[in-house]
Amino acid sequence: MDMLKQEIKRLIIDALDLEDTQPEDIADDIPLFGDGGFGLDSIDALELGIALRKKYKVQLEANDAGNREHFRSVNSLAQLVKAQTQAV
Amino acid sequence: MTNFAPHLIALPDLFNRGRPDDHPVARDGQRLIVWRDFSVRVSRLAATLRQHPEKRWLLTSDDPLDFTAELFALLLAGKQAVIPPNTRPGTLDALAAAFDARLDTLTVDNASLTSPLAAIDPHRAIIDLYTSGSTGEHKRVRKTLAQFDAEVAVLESLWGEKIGAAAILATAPHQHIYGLLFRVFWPLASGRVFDAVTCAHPDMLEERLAVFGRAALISSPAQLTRLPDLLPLAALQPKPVAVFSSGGPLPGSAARALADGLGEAPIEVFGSTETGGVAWRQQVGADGDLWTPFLCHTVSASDTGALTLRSPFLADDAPWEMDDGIALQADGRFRLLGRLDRIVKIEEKRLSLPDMESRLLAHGWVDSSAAVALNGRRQSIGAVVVLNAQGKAALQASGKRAVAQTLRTHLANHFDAVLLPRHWRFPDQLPTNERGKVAAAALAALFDLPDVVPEPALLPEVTAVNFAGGNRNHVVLDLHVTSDIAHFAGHFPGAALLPGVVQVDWAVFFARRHLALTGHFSALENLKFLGVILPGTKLQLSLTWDAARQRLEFAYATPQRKYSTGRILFGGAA
Repeated sequence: MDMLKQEIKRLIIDALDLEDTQPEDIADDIPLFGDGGFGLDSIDALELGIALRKKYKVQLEANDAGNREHFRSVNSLAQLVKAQTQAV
Repeated sequence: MTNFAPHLIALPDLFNRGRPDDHPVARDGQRLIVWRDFSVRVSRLAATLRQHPEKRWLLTSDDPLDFTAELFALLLAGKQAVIPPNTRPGTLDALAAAFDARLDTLTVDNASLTSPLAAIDPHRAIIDLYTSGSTGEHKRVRKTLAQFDAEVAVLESLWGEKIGAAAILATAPHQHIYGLLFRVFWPLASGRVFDAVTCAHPDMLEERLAVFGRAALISSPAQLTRLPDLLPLAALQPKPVAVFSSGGPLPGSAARALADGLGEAPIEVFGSTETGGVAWRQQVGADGDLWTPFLCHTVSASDTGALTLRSPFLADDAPWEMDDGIALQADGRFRLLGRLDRIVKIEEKRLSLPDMESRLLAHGWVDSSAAVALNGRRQSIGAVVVLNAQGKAALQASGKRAVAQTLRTHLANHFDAVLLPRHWRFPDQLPTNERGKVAAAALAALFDLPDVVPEPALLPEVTAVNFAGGNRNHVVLDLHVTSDIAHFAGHFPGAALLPGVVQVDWAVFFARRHLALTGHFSALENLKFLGVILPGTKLQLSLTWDAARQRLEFAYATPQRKYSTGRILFGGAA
């Protein structure tokens, strides 16, 4: 799981072209979006969706609340990827 | 679902004329909200509002249905609606003098109190929108219901038949003029159902299309350019009956990908908060990049080449000059040549660069600053900041990332997250060009990121302007046709050259800017293309205006060779 989290942090940095950012700058549980968190925006959410789909073939949910929960933090993204890659 | 035929009711008469009780208005999840529920809700809210003396009400609801009910309740109660550009605390503080009360703190009286559903006086029903002006202040754009109503009638006449009884789905927010018109006013006035959720993610879109069956989509380039990567469009069932896009031009490649996947390129609408919709296009065929003005508009080019508009959507009949350069064609269509000021769009969100610079300057660490739009994998802002002693100490102590984060947080009080700088440079002084000005190209050059290319230019760089012997009808411009000119892309595969049509556009653009050109483009004569203009060419454009005969002679040449010559005829006095 820690390997996967590290991989997701790297994916976030690369896919979103984040400047001066290292994986260790992203805490596992920091909220990725919204005020007071890591500060990603709505365009990042779209780009991250594309990157996750390409790398892990992740299917997202059709409802916004569910996706918001999955995209909350590196922890929740790791759970989403783990659940879906095991199911395949 | 109830069948109905779209039937336009003027917005001011919507409530006094009404619709059948069971007429569907909106869908919230699976639940259909019918006219009776909606109108009772509006009437109750209006009655509550009438008991309050405050006149101007801040309207911020994120929920499209709540927002719509609140907006009409305000107008029915004789109040004014104030819709902020965003709900950042700093923005609302700055607008504090613009409103008297906030709707989000109003407790609605649930007693049987109702307000009569009368006609609304369209010229006295005021809705204040805000946008970023070039001075950096939030600029109020006051609209009346009459203006919106005029535009809704145009939308219905252009596309009503095409979309038929389809419902209206949206990814675009309802609080800005495009969403307000297309996903709130248009469906309400025409009796179409609108979706009470905003499809923030494409997977939601797929689900909502399935729920509605027949639906038109109100979207924008930020979503649409990414849609082909996020949804298998060719397999999508059902497909939207039409896709609308506004907020910025859709890249040709995205329009083609969407046309391939959905069967038709999106209908793009060009406009602004100040003007409402100005023109539309569908990128099909060779001249698909040309915009067609709405029929009720008169579009001309000002003496600086700026789009000038007379329109019933404006507050009065006076011509309104936009900050967009255009090349008008003989048939009245036009090509956009880019902004003439320092206002940029980042993923459809309008930003005044001077505004961001002055906000940065207000921070205690900043000595001077410049902001620039970068067009890389995504559109973003780069900030170039010269730190003062205190700022430099902070940089020394905690590093670049921490300083950038602090400044970002400072800006987050005033700007939407999408507009916050993603790239930061802290040089000892701002880069200037040979004329001592801080130029966008010099700023962009500081951001040598792997995927970042500067914004493609639409006009050549002008290095000198010479009027021969005080003759105001003849001018020679030294031009550098830089390799980043957008028109080189796609002309032609393997051999980039400047298209003839662009040479003609530029001649007219610069002639309007420097000579006393009158009339509108009517014909071309003696056009000769003698040599191809390649990326990087430096040449002279010579322009001679014959005022009596309304003829413009142009020549692109160097002392060694001629590239092209021609004569452009103008007619009329406009």
